[in-house]
Amino acid sequence: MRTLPRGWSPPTQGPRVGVVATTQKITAFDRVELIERVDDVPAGARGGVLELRDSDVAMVEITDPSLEAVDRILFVHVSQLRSSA
Amino acid sequence: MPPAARAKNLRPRAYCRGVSSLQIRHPLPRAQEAISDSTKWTGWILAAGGHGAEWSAVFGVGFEDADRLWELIRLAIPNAPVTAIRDRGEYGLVAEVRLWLEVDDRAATVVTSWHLADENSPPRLVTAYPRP
Repeated sequence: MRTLPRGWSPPTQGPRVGVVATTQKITAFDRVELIERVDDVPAGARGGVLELRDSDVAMVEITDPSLEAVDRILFVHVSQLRSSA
Repeated sequence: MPPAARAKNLRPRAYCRGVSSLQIRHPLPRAQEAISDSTKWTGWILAAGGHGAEWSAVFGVGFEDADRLWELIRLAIPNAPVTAIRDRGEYGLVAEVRLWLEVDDRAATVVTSWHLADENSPPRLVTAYPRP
């Protein structure tokens, strides 16, 4: 087996620029935005996480756009959400 | 079910999965047992990121008033009719109830939403905000 000079280590792969995986933790009462349409609510709609349930499902209240009260409440998989300011 | 009702997801009693007694124009089933999570008041309903600004503008109330606001809602809800229902499939039903609340010398309509998970669960307050 080929040996390396003392103090050297095998080359490692550099960062894969442009292939960045991000892990986003959604927590209760976070402000969030829909990544995709859910029921009749379009992508880009914003609101807050009211509850987090088992299996990564969030109960969300949409506040923008303005909707009827019962239409505001959605159950959404967290993968369909991203944090918003 | 009539097409209009299906389109609006307004389901008469027979179609409400798991919560057969939930009907529009009738009080919430088990309204006397309605529950609320205190963290929802501080984290959302009265919080700046949620409806805090609306509560402050309409009633002049804040975090310190969470208990008495819930008490007012809890007392009013058994006599208030459901005004809208949405079926959220496996997650149960969401119902809207509008209440007329008086806090100190101010009064306004408060829109409340309730989650009914199934027949065995009491209604749970999801959100509440005043309408000026």
